Amino acid sequence: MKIPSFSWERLRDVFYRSRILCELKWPALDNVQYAISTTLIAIEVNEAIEIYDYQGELEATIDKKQFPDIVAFEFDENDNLIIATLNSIIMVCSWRPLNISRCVLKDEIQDSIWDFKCGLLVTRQNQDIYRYQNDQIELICKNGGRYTLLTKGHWNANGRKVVLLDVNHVFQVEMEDKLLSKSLQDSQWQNVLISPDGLICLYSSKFNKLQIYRDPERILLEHSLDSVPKIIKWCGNDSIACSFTDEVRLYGPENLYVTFWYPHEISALFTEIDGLKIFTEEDVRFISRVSESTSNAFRVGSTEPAAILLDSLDLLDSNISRAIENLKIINLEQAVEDCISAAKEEFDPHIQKRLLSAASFGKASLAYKSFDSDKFVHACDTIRLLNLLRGRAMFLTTAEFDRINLNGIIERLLVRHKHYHAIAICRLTNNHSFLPRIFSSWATTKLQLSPELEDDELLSLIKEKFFELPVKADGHMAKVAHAAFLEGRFRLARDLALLEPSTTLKISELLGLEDDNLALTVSMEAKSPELTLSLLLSLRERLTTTQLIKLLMINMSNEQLYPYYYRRDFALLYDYYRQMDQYVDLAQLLIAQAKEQGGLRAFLPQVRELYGKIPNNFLAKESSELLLRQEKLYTYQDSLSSKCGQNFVGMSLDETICKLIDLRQERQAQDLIKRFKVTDKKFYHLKCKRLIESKLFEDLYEFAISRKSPIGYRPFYDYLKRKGYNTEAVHYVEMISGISYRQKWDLYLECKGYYEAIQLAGKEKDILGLKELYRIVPANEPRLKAEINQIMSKL
Amino acid sequence: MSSQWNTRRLSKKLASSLCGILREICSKDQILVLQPEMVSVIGEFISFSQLTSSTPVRKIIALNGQTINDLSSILNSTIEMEVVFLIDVRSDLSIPAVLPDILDKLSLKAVNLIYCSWETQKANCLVNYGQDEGFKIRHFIQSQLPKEIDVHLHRLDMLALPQIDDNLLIGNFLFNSDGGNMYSPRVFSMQSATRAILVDNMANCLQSLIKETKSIITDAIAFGEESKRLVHLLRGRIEASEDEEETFIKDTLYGDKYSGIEKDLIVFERDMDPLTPLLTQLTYSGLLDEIYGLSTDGKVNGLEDVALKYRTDEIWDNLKFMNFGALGPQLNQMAKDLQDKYDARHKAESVGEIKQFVESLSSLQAKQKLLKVHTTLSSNVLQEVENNASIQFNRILELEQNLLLGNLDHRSSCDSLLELIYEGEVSLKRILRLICLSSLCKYGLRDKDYELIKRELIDSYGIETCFQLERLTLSGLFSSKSLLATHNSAWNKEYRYISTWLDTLPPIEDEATEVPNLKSSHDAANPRDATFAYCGVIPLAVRFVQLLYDRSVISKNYASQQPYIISRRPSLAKTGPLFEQIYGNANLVHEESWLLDLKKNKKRVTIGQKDNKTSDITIIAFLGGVTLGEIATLKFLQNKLQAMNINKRFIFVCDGIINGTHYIQ
Repeated sequence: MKIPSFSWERLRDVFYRSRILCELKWPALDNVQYAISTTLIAIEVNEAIEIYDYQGELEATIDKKQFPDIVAFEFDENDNLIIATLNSIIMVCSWRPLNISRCVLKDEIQDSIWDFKCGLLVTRQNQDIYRYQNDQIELICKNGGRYTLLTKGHWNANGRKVVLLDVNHVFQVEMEDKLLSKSLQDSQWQNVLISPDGLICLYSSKFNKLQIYRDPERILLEHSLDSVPKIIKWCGNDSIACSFTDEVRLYGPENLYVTFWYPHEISALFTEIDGLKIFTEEDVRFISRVSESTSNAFRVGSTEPAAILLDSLDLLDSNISRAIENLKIINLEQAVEDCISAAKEEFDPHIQKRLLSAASFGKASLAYKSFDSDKFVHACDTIRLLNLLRGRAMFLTTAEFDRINLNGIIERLLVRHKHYHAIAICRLTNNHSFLPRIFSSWATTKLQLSPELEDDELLSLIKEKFFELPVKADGHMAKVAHAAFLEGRFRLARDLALLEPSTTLKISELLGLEDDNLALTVSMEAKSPELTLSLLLSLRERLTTTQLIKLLMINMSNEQLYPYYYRRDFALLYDYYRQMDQYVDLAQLLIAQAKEQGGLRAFLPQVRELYGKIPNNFLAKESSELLLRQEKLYTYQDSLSSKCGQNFVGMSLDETICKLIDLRQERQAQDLIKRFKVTDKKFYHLKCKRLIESKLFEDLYEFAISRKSPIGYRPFYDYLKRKGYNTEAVHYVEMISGISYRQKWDLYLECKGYYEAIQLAGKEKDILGLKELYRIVPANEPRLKAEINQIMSKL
Repeated sequence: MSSQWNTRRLSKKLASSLCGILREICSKDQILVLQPEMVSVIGEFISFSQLTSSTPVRKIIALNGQTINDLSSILNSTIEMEVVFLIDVRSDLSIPAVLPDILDKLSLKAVNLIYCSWETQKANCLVNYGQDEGFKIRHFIQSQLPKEIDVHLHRLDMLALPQIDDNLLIGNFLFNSDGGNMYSPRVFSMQSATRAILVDNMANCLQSLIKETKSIITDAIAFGEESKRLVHLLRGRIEASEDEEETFIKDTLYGDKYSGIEKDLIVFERDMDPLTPLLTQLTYSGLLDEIYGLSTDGKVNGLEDVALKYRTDEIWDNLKFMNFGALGPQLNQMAKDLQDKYDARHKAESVGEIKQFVESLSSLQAKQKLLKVHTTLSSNVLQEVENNASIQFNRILELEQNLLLGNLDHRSSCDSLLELIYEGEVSLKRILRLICLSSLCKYGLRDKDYELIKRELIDSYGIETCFQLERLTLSGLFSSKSLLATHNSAWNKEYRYISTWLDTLPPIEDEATEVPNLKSSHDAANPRDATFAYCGVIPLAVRFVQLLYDRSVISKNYASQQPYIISRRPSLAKTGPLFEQIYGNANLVHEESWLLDLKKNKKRVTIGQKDNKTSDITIIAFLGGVTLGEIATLKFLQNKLQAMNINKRFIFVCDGIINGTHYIQ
């Protein structure tokens, strides 16, 4: 087996190694413009920008005709190609069909783009710095004559800071506060490089030397070079690399350096977060620092736990007892963790497997609670995924994968239309949540690239795949529908929109298609009135009233959400009900309005007419009869008002009668009663109450005895009693028929009619009752007591 | 998953989410402008002093015509303050009419608006999507606000809160800000819309609760059309929102291996029993509601200083669901106990005992204070009941009882009603309640009685009454025999049949006619059946819930052959014919199991028996409001079922509390 440490180079106490990633023919052209990302290479050739993966497979060709004046191009952190032209920044969102979003430098800037790096652009005239972010160009720093940049190499940036090499000084701009500051006074440099972590490396071609610092006050390293480097780049965050024709040197402190030689000429370098990619004419290599765990495991002569664990694994076949014994003397947990992280570092499956076996072996002897086995499982998953990706021309280290993460991988595959690979990765990682995204990307591409297919064919194709999805997420189908809409396939767009699981997105998409009917139906199906109302209110802004009413009539004739919402708006409701032929509601509306204005009368004929319009409705007929009666009452009240010189209008029938009684208009009252068929009983109740109210007790008595009361005499008694006219109430007890002696006796007592009670008891010869009365009668009534005694003695 | 709900936690959760929102808005001092309807609701979960101490809110004012002046004076006088509005448009849908006006006049650039909604409300996502250019629909609140002002919408996820009782969760969305009942709105044609809003709110309310407590419903029973719709909607939404983990949990608990944990959902709607709210309530809380009006936050209308809080007032908590008649002896006993405890000081000899007594003194004093409140309150009630002519309590109660028992024929019941109208002492609403009761009991009045009563009412109370009566007819409460041919009624039979089949009027020996609240104390405190909340009648809701678990009820008078007598799982099996006979439609009731379908050829095996100590939760949801009397009787039923070893804990979730006065409007 290969010993990994054979190819390591030592720079002080750190090992570096260079590993081959893949074969790649670099085009033998001079001064070619190129851009490199972690997974892609873009090269400008003749009339086009060609995009390749690391294995040299042509992924896309972007015709330069669309942007003839290219200044620079690069990949952003999501591997989207960004092209800077003289007056605009263009982001290529999709390669095939080409879909770009262009952000033009505003006219008022009156300048053109000079250079573009790391999402920042420098203008030609003023050398102001702008940032391109989220499809917008934003000013970061205005020059104002403070600095001059001689060449494009005189400035550089990473996401957080910009370093500007002026003719005399070094300036620095912090992105966060957008402040320009002078970091090095009177110092001349020609090239600057910033590591991903923010270390700054300056290069002076005059003295051919490098200077590295993080804080300008404290120079970390200064190094004079023997010859002029071709390219200078950072190798990860920890050393600076210079390439010469066929060698790369990494510089460390104290003038130390290590050299890697290559059989071919070096064409390009690319800094990764954890290393440096070398593009020679024939292949791609990767220089990286050997991590401590790997070094522990494989360093020659290592006695670290990881190395001993690996040894034990080898011994397992020949000398089991020694192998087991070994485990006891080392820090096993440390050993296992080192093996796991070392395995993640390796590219070679054999070595990965060996390390993982060792980890697994060691892990088995660890206490179940002290070690989290998930670490091991996750490591295996990651390694498996990265190995798979290496087979798909994506050469990622664990650190790079952690930056990009699974989502980034999937997005990168989708841009390349590698849907199958994306699905395979989802399956492998058992992560279904990306499937809807893959589906929508596939379906959109399918739509865009199949102009020859009929709507129906496309629909059934897309539908089939859609139903196969194990998870459905909101929004993806809406995107596909929108794509169909943009392709001009409206019918298909509608059919697709209907498949969207999220109701709101579905409705929005249907509205986009101006299919209001369907949108409304869909929203009603969700049974969320708030949603339907939101839709209606949005529709109201777009449609005319007539259109809206028509829509409502077709879809919501039974669901009166719209009138409910507008329940306070009489004018609108009036229109609405009229157009919908809702006569009853119209009538009710009139009544409500009348109540508000305080005069029901003027509206009644109209209301009655509306009721009359409703066919075959018993209730409406009944009501309209009663309304007619009310109208008659109004007329009658009018005539009464003029006759009696009093206002009767607006009173109820009972009130009218009462008023007539109060006014002692007996004949008028009788007339009214006859005309409106008021029952006798009611009249008796009313008159009785009114007379008591006016304290006309004699009249009341006369009224009571004028003829036999149809309501009996109990109400007379009750009304008087309730008003507190006890002495009057007493008279009527005698007249009450159908109650027993005892009840009468009680009634008398209730209104303190002791005398009458005594008489009654005397008549009934109720000695016990009399005795009780004797007890009840108040002491200040000796006359009554005497009366009782007298009667008792008679009996 | 918690098998026991701590409903008080809901209040805390809501309070903390409101505070969270307020703190998130900004750290500047804030003025909180409250929709008037919100004042009492907010008071239920957070006090204003808490609000001002734990959030940047410094001033709280109500949203009305006066607000604009208050606001502008505050904004002008003091240092810069942020205006935050808090509104609840869950049933109104339209924002308060004064709000756009105020926003216009304030001429602020940006305003914060908190609106009450549910976590699961579908329209919520519109607010977020609204930022998106391509998105075509705006949230309905955004559409109603003036476009020039930048209004930041913040959502407050409401929860149904325990009010009046720990197990009574009230959602407070039955009435809109006009006081209109969403279940039976004033304008009949809007009923479909308002009920849809109500059902949506209830579905969200239940779903939020289920989500909050991480519960899984096993069986659902619906009584009534809207209830069916609700159950269907809720199930669809819950299933649509389930993620893999929840499906896994569900499968583990209720798959082939059944864990035996039950959680039932019973939905009952007002149309199933229109009769009960018409009756006079006789429990302590019910009677207070009847006479004064009891609001859900424990305030008694007309009595300023009374606030009945069940959490702090132990006496109220114990007595509120008791028959008023039992109150006197209970209060008496409490007073005696209290006296005994006071007297204990005489026996205290050692310093330790005296110390103990002194320590308990403050709690004794607090108790004494409470006792005083309740004795005063109950004596006031008694005063009203016995002497107030406009209530005519005993007479009406007697009439109710006679109507229910069918003691009066058409003619005499009509006469009694007319007499009440003629006398004109009792309020119109009270009379209407009796008329509706009579119409329901008789399954429609005779045509001539109907016409006469209608005419007399209009003559006495004016033509507006005509429209009110029309509304009652449409909701099936006031009907004549011939109108029944065209208009549907609540049920299809005279009440006496229903009462026999369901045994809702169990015979009470010797005191059938006596007014129940004057019954001897022993009986009233320990009733044998749930007759104590009304004049001897058991609400239908109680019987319906009972027959799900215990069929002995209908085996008595309806059909002796029942598929089972008692069961822990609720079941409607073989009750179709009964409902067919009562309502004319057997499909009005519906039961479904919400568990996953079993794989073919598999049988559900119950593993693990639940011990009998813990009780299953049964959520009883009410659409269209519930009366306190029904809650009281259902609680009684819960205890009765427990005595039969069916351990259920009823949790009532309702949209609002109603009483006869609300119901008839």
